[in-house]
Parts: sequence; structure tokens; C-alpha cells
Amino acid sequence: MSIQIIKAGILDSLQGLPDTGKQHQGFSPGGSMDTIAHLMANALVGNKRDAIVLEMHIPAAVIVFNKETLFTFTGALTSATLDNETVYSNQPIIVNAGSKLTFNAPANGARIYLAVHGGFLFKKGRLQKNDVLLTSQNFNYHFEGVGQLHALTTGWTANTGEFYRSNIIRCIQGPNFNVLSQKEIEDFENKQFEIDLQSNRMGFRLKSDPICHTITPELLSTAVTRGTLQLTPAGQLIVLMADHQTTGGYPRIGTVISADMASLAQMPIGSSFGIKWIDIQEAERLLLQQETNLQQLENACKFRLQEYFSEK
Amino acid sequence: MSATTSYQIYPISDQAVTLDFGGPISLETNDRVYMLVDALIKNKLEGVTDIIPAYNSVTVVYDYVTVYKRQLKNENTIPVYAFIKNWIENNVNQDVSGIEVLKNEIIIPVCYDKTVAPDIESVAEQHQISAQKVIELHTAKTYRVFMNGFLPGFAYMGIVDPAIQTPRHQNPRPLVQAGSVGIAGVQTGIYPCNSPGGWQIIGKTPLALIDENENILLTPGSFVKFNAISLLEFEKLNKQ
Repeated sequence: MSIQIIKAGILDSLQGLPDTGKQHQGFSPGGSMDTIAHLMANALVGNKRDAIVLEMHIPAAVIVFNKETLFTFTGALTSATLDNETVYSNQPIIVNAGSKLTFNAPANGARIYLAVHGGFLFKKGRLQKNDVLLTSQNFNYHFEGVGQLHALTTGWTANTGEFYRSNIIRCIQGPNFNVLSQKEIEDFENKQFEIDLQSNRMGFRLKSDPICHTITPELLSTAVTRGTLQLTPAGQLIVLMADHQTTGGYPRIGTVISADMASLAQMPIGSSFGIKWIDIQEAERLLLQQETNLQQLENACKFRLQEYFSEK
Repeated sequence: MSATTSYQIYPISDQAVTLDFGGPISLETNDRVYMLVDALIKNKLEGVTDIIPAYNSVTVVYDYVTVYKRQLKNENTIPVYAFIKNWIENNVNQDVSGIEVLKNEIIIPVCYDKTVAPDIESVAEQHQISAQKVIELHTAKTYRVFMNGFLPGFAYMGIVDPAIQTPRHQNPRPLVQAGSVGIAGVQTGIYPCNSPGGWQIIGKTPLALIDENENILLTPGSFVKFNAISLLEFEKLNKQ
């Protein structure tokens, strides 16, 4: 099975889950920016968690399916036109060979994740027009109405709303939080941070009034993580995202909690949010809760897919 | 060297804890870093995904859910970050005397010709010495790879002779070529690929710092010596 990109979107790429284990040699873990959408996409087509998915921004690529398959798209909530039918995010969709998928505007979110049954074979870098993306296995499902009915949705949608928040991103304080004065800490809570145009998979630059007025010297380089809030010499924040460098020398005033990273990844350039400080035990509790909810939804997907295909 | 080890230890995310020995760049502190890294690797813990050494710190990155399930058996007896913190602290060797970190010495051929070393003349000028003296001082020392970071395979090395220590450029160059050898303060390093960069470029090596299978040449803890080569030799080696 394969799909072909007949019109490239903005920075389409194939992504797995973060690839850890080589950060000590300077290799960024990378992987899908929105890991929740990544996991949901795979669950909806019966894949393992780490199967490779297609990450797209908006406007997204136009795609043709070269063979019948089961696919879905998750992440930014949107609709798409599949030949003449409208299909929606978070649905498993069976598609015939030759069908064309075009995403509709607008979308609620910044990134769309498309998964096909079996997962894509990994290919590095930015995808171009006419690229063919191979999948690791075929979808052996014969359905009636070939030639007449181009798409069937399986009739249900996974509700992923509970995983995303839009106004407040929660963070824990970092080792250099103390570079902020008492007054700066008080002001911080009321500030809005706008995602600057110069933001990418490495990091989001956050536009705000300067949050810190003392010039802090550059520190000895030390490890940073996805979500680290770095304070630049101009008193502004950079939050590190999937393709972050493994080490850095800017003061680290905090880190976005893991449970809120998917929400941040779905915020489009130009949108704003506030930051709320919480303690690490609360961050752990929220992460565990999120994992439990995710597993429940994954199990529901598995059950529904089994049920659907056993009836046929 | 003191007989006991002082440090700070703190979470830097809800899935990473850093142990920080503090202080400036020094071989002694960096030895402690690699002793701790070795101990942590030896006493491996399921759920730990990365152990990242730096000049004077070690950061342990872990998968929260795996540690919670495998190590704490799904019980909230202790926060996961505190469990990881204890694990790291239990691996800090309090006695740091008499331990040697033995690693191979890697010889790196470097061409210091100004056609591939755009900053060698200005570095010489700033220190009121000749370019030849810069080369002598840069090749005289054996450097330690303190850490990797910035780019895959980029090695932070030191300690550069005070007579040629030079701060970064105020404005980074948009493009520094792969193989370029630079100085930034007490540090020296080699760009493994084309990249924007602010270091003072005083030479270029024909060696590949990273191969097609993503194996890197300069790993943390290695020792490195630079060997000056002519432009002719550089071009010959570069073609191979």
C-alpha cells in the first residue's frame, strides 16, 4: 500500500514517537509534536503506538490513496473531502484505491496527524509534491460497492476534547526560576504569551513584555528537555519543542508539564496563552491521569474496530 | 580534590532530574560527571531513556509511566521524581580519590590556512600574536571532550590556552561549514555539519565527525589532539 502527495502542504513530514537514547551524543529525540494525536491516530486504525504517522500543518497536503486502506486523521479538529464525501477528524475511515483526500479550512488546532493501517515506512525530512509514502502492510479487507462507494466511515468518532486546553499552560518552576524578582514573579501570572512567527519544531518563541529586567549571564551548558522555558538575554521566553537541541546555556526558569505539551503543540502561530505554576507532584498526577484516559480511549478504539470488522 | 562530593539535585521537568556538581569548567568535575554516568549505566533502571552528561552535571531523562509501573508497582508510595532522585544519589561515589578515567586519544588533522579559517587572523590580532603562534598553542594541548550537544556529534572540548581564548562573535554567522574548528572562550569544538554558528573559526578538518549511520567520532570523555596539516594535504584528504 502507498499514498501519494499530489500537492504538498506546509512542512509535511513523517514522524514517530520521540526517539530517545542518543541525547548524550547531541541527537534530539524529535518525533510527533502532538504525541496524543499521534497515539490516537494509531489507535483508530489498529496500529501499535509507535507506528509512523504523517504530520501536517495547515494548509495540509492533498493525498491520493493508491490502494484500499483504513486511515484516520487526528490532532487539529477539521474536516476533509474524500472524493465527494465529507469526513471528520478522529474517525476510522475505509477508503478505496484512487480516492483523493483534500482537507477543508478552517481547523481548530495547528497540526494534523494522518495514520494508515500498518503505519508508514519512515523517510526523513520534509515531504515534497509527488512523494510516495509506503506503508509496512496491506489492509486486507474486501468491501462491497467498489467503484460506487468510495469511502465508508465506521460510524463513530473518538472524543479527544478532554486532552486539550487552550488558555492556560501549566508549568513547573525550573532551576533558574530565582533569576526573577518577587515583582517579576507577580507580574508573570498576568502576562499573555503570544506564539511568534519565528516558531518551529525546534522551539516556540513567545512574544510578551520582557518578563525579566536583570541581565543574566550565560550559564554552563547543561541538558534541556521538551518543554523547557529558556530565558533569552532580551528577557523573552523560548519554549523548546520536539526537535530541541539537547543542551543549552540560557537560564531555565521552568518547564511545561508533559500533560500540557500536546495542547501547546496545537496552538497556532499568533495565538496567546497564560502560564500557571504548579508543583511537580501535581504534574505527575495529571500525567498519570492523562495516560489512564488515553489507555481507556485506545481500548475503546480496539474494541470498536474488532466489533466493526467482525460484523462484516 | 576534596574527599567528598557536594552537589545540587533537582527536577528540570516532570520526566527529568539533574544532578549538578556546580563550579566552573574543570577536568576534576567532569571526571565526577563520567564516574556518575558509568555508575548509572551499570545500575540501569527500567524506564530511564537518556543519561546526558554536561560539563558539571548529569541529567537523567525517564518515562514517567514506565517508572511508575515497573519500579513503584503502580503505587503512590513516593513521587516518581523523588524515586529517580534517590537512584541518582545512590550512585554518586562519595570517594573521588584514585579513580582514573581512561579513554583513547583521537588525532584530528586540521588545516589552519586562512582560506578555510576565516577568523584565524583576527584571533591572532586580538591577542597580539602571529597566526603561527595561534596554531602552535591550539595544537600543543590535549583536549578533553567534556560533552556533546548543540548538534549531533558536536563535541565541547577544552581547556583552550588562555593566550588564545576568544569570545564568540556578537552576531553568529548564518553558515559555518562542516568540519570547521572553532574557539569560544575556554572551549574548542568542530562543527559536524553546516550550521549557523558564533564560534571563532581558526581551522578546518577533512574528517567526518558523523557517518551515514549516525555514528559520531568524538564521544564524551574522549581525549583529542589537533595535528596541523597544509592546505594541499587538506584537499587531498578531503577528496577521500
